[in-house]
Amino acid sequence: MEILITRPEIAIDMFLPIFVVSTLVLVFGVGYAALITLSKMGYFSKKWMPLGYIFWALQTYCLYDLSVMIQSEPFTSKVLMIAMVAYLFVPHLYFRLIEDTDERYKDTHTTSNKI
Amino acid sequence: MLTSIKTNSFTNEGQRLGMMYYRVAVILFGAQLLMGLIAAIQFLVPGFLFEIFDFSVARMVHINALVVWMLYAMIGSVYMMITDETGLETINIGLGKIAFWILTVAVTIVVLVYIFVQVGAGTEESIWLIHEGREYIEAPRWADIGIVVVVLIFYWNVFATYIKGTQTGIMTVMVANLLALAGLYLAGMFFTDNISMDQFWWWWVIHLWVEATWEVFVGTLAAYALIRLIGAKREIVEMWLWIEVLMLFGSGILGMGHHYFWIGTPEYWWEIGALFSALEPVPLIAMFVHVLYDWGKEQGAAHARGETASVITNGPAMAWIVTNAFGNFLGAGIWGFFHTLPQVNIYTHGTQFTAAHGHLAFFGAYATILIGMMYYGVQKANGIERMKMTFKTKMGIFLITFGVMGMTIALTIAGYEQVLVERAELGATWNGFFVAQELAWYVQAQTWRTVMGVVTLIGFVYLVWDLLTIGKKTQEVEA
Repeated sequence: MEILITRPEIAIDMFLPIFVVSTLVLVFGVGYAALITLSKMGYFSKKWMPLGYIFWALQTYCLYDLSVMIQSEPFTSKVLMIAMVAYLFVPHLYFRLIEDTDERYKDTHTTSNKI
Repeated sequence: MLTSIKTNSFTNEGQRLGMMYYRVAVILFGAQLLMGLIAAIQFLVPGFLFEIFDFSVARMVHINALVVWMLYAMIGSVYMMITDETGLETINIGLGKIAFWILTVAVTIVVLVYIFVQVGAGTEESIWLIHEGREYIEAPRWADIGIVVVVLIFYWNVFATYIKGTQTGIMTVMVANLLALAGLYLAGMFFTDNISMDQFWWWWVIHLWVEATWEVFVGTLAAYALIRLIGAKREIVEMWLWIEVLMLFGSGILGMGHHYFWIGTPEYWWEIGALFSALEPVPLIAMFVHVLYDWGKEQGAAHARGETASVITNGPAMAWIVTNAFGNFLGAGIWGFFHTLPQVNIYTHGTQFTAAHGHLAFFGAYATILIGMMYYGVQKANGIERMKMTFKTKMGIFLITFGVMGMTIALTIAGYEQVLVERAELGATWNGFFVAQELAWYVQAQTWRTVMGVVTLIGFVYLVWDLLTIGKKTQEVEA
């Protein structure tokens, strides 16, 4: 019978690093988004922004490391890295949209349903 | 909440009906916790209540009560907000009230049947009258049909009011999303003998509810709550909402592939599931940032105007909504991402990892915001301008959150042990399952899960006590 799926063999001592690294992917990811947003909002000094980019770099590295540890297909690894490049722009795009919306509606303060 | 049974300050019938839904939701929430505690004890003492109240029944009522109390609270929240948003009294509200009573009687009968008919053969008759045997949506077929009728009435209430009233962005998303949410239930209503096909459609309900339409529902409630609780600008909030909808559906719909890895579906789901699942945490990060951004922005603007008071008009509701922002990211995001990729998922699925993710995700993403909306309902019921947290509010939030986090960590440790011993070392065999169940780490983790379940239950008692008393207490302080 033709074998359709071969179970990826993961060594027992690799499970903990996999779970830790996958957590770090998201922790660094939220850290990056939060630092960039808070710096742009003025809650943090702009000096914190480079730290945000370091978080993004660490997130990218962790995601790459994760893809290696779980023996991802090369195609999947590449797509994940492209996704990380896209993620670099996400907080900036987000903030731009908010700023533009704020600018457009700065003289209104609509909290009721009258739009 | 109690005072609102007879007298209340609601300005419209929709909110009265919303509060009726909340009351039943709280009772079912309590039933869910009680059943969970019984099931947790049965993990440690398998003979506990054996042949009186079996594990299979305790677990079934535990997870069905979870889904049903959340649906009750969701329907209640829609009725709570609909007049505020549309500017109209809910159309055909009388029909809505009849539907409420039909649903409540049906749910009571279904639960009683679960409890009193615990053992028996699965037949066509049992599918119609006892239960269908599908996790989370086990309701027998007669109840399925009843649910569809009730939901159609509810949807008519919402849709007709929306069409006639002001069509805000929030209500537009709500109406479209409710159509998808209700429509998806139909996919889980037919039984097939082929387990792969059955699971294929079953996931359309379960996944596309909790990782697509329910998440959009949460985004909609958060948007409404931010406007009402901190006076956030509607235009900004709605702009966030549309982006969240785009990202949630963009990643969540095909993210369903992570449930199709091992159920007999084609291999292409590996790549689809892996890629879109990896994107699923992104909107959760956005929702997290959104709540904190709007709160910080409105408070900052108030300070700039020289106001020193908090912009929050309902402390308990806002506290639960902030808990939602963190909990959604942690439970659905981090605990989901842990085991969403196929290479890892083959070892983790069906272990206590899944239970850990389920506990924190359902609590973090849904329970929190729905409890927040209940506090909003209490504020409205009592006609309170500004509601602050009490000692009981803080105890409720702390104990429930601490308890659920504790259960999640304990279950993660149990799941980790299962992954190593049951799956990796012993190759997911029948023997491996039982060996893993008896190891010290697993047993200790289950013990801690039970302890944390008790902590959660105590927190729930504080929560109910607070919901019943905070309105009157605040009224007295204001007077």
